[in-house]
Amino acid sequence: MPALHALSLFVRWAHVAGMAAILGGALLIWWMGVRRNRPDAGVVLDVAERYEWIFWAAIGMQVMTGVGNLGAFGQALPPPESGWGTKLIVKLVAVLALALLSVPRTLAVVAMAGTKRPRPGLLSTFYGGTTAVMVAIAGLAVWLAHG
Amino acid sequence: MAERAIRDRNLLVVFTLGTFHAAALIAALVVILYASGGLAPLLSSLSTIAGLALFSALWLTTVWSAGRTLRGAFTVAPWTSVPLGIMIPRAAWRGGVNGVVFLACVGVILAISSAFNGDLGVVGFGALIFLTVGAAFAFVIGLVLGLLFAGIDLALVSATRAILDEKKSRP
Repeated sequence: MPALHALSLFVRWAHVAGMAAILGGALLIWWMGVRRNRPDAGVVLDVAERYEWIFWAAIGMQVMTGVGNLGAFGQALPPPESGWGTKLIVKLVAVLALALLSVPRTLAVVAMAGTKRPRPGLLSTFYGGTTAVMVAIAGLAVWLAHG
Repeated sequence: MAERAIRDRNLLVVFTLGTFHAAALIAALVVILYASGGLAPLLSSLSTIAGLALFSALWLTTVWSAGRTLRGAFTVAPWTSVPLGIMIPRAAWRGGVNGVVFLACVGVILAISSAFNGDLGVVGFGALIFLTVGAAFAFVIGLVLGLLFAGIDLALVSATRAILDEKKSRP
């Protein structure tokens, strides 16, 4: 396998792995908060605090590898007026919105952890919302990958 | 133990804001460049490794810059009691410094890339541009972006406070 092809494959793998980490982590914390035999709210908050590190590392990776994936198209990148181009712009704006809306979530988790006053309802709303947005972005990504 | 937990939380806030700034800037630039048709020529001129190195450099310098801006500004909650009159100029200044440091990283990455291609004339010309107009230009752009993100961060902190305000959230 040529070295550049292997690198391109690694970039794609890292992009998908990052998305899986963001979606899977948010889904896990939401589920921990809403299931019938839910753990203590402090435990959910502790997991949420750890997740925030993973989330932001993965967001950085998503942007870095996402641009790398676009670079792999070279001059063959479909134009913005095409259907594919519109879907790409919508996906990029959705990623921007996810990053913007995630800052208050992280700051709220840090504040709750600092004051040791977890708010279970708020945590479920935050991570349920993150999961919903990520499902939409993942759906757009699959749609883009299939033309 | 408690001190370590507080330090870790402060680091999380720095990492969050630094990553947010770098990721939002690049995502917004990609949208603008793609919509205007300038993305494909730009990406075609960059190798994958150089592109990854450039974003890594921006990410690293922006997180470092966020850390410098927020130094000594933390309380138990992730917002500061430091007056805005100090924080905003500090954010603008750190943004400008970040612009220059990032430009230096761009210079090093592109110089290595050019040297590998045997194009040493480009390296010399690039160094000359960096030492003259480039650094001043990067400082001004960084300063403006620092101000812009300081405004966005303040709005996001206000939103977080409103969300956490239990009195307001009660029916």
